[in-house]
Amino acid sequence: MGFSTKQVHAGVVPDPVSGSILTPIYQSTTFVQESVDQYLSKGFSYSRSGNPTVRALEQKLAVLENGAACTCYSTGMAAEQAVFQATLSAGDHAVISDVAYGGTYRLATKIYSRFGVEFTFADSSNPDSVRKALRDNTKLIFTETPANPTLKLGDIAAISKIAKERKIPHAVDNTFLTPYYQRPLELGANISVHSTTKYFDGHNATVGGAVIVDSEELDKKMRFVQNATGVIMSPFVAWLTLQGTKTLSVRIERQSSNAQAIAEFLESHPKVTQVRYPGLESFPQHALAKKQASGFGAMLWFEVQGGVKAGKKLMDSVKLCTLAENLGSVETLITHPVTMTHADVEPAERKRVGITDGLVRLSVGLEDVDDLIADLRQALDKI
Amino acid sequence: MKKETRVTHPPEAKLPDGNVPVVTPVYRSVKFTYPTIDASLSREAKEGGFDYTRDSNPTTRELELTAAELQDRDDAVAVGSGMAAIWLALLGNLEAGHRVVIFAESYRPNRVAVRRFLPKLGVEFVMLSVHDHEAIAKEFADERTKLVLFEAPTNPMLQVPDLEAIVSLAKQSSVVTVLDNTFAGLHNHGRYEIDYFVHSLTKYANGHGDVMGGIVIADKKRIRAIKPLAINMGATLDPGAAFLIARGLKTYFVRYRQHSASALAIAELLAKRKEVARVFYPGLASDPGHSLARKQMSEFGGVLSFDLKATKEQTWAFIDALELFTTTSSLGSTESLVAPVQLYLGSDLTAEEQKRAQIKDCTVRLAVGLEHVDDLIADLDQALRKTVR
Repeated sequence: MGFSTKQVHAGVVPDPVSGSILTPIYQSTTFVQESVDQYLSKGFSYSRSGNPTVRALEQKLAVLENGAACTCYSTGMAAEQAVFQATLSAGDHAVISDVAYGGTYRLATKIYSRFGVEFTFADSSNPDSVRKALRDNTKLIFTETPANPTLKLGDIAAISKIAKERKIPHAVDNTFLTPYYQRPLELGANISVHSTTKYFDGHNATVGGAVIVDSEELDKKMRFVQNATGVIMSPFVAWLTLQGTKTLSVRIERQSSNAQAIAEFLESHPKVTQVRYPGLESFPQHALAKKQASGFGAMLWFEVQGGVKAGKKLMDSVKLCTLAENLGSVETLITHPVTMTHADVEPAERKRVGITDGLVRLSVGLEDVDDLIADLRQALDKI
Repeated sequence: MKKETRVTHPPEAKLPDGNVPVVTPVYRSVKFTYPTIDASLSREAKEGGFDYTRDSNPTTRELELTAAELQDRDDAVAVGSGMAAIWLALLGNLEAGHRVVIFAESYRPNRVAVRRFLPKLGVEFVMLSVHDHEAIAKEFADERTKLVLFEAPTNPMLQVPDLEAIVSLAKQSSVVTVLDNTFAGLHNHGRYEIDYFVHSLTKYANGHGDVMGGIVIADKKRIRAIKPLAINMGATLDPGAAFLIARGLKTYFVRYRQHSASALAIAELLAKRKEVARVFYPGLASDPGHSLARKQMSEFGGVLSFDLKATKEQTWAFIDALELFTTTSSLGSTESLVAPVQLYLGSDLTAEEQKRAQIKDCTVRLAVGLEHVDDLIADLDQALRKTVR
């Protein structure tokens, strides 16, 4: 069955009571038990432990990622936190991609390190440096590809092979490409993590997260954490995400082709010194991008001539592109990390993760590509 | 502008100046923007502005401020469930090597969080009885003890801890007090010097059994200390859920008072029945916690437990015979619910621990709803007659 068929139908069966083609929004917090000794005979007792609307989304996402099962959470960070919690204890060590999202970095260094877990941030674009970072007590490898915002790639199959040799899970944050373009579990990873806030919802209307795993055993651990810590997705958010997911492939295909056209336009613009988009021939890991994913996504960054001042001027001059840090939604969003997301970060740390003064990140939306290029052109002209 | 662009940048339905909605809208937007970068960096933006819904959202913020005021504090963080709130209060105040005091008379998931998860993170625990002040004082004096997690009244056995005594012992040893105040409600216990109040908003605050939520309430300084963790954990409350809870709060006082009045009437009736061995409800004049509860609370809540003079089989048959009380967990909503205590809320405890918590196989918990109390009493009466002899 094709991906777009699965994205419409998987996990959703018409409601047996009314015939409603869509899964109802089960707002109920609690579920009646037929009798005391038939406790949980229908599978649900309390919405924190499981909710039919959320379960429908979990089943859909498990099918789309070709995994064994899925658990959903209140946000992408909650999903990631749950992965840490399910796999790491005091005295353990984890290897994390050195270009991981800032939230991941903070989760490791500000929270888990307080509870006796150690971390090594390794260059995940080189499997050997991941291997070298392993210790006897390493219990998790966590990577992100493409990375946010650098777009650096990690070879999922090669890193998964290292994890497999050590019998530890490899978790991949697959938010940037979604299972439509990249399926980490098929490449040997054990866990795929998503901020559903991004492409699954796609409309900037919910925050949510998901963890898809390759075994029932891992799912059991995730489900325990989901229930005990209560970082759950609300049924209404699950329902909006179910609906959003049905248009995932058409949205991301168009957003990606828009991104390709914009990347090519920017590459030819005299005021742009550098463009990074996995779909460009000039992208350093273009071959790996083609090998492990079937598309290049809708995220790109470029460097404008003139550093901080020029970057800021560009931000203040764009009209269609919205100044906001989210990504993956129908609106094109633009950020200048040095003055926005990473303003508080030490210059050395910014350099380490590849954020230069003139770097501008673009999450390409669903607008007409000519309008977007015209907007960027007029703003670049003002620099 | 091409139509493909227009649909993602729709024309704004602008409200004239001063023309405002009476009820705060549900801000579903994930992102909030500013016209310029400078505006986004202003002091106002940094201190009260909105950026990303995982961090804060106007619909959720209104709920946080309302709940904080009801609990006599000035700040709060709302999260996706009551357990997420417990988890936030624990992780926000602990690190490896610390120790936590909990009580046998507590809510099962609270115990699970402390007994199963915290040891994985290098945090130890000790479980006492909430009435054993001597043991509490001794454990608090141990310098590894950093936090106490307790409930008032406790779920499911309605024990009433002495808040003044526990707070004063905690202060002597700089132990952080975290009170799960769900049973007492947002309007009770605010005058005690509790450091962090935690509530499951799923219960009385929302009150309609149709949304999950949790909140940690404290003074600004304490909330500021745990807010970065809340943002990083991403345990965010959905703004749609926040809206429903804020709507629920508008009937909070009338509901809570009616839950309490009906529960008291039922407790009084049960106390007189020959089929009932003992009733646990602090509102009863005969309850050992009554005078303390009267000092601490303005009403006594909608949950009560009782022991039947019956076997486990008869107890289950009694629960199954009830028609208006639905068999399930949760509480604080319009519908009356019933739960077999040992099975739903005590199965993680050893026989010895169950004894300490006073949980038996004939113990039944009722969460009294807003049905007419005469109908509820008639239902209890027919089930007792049918199954307990």
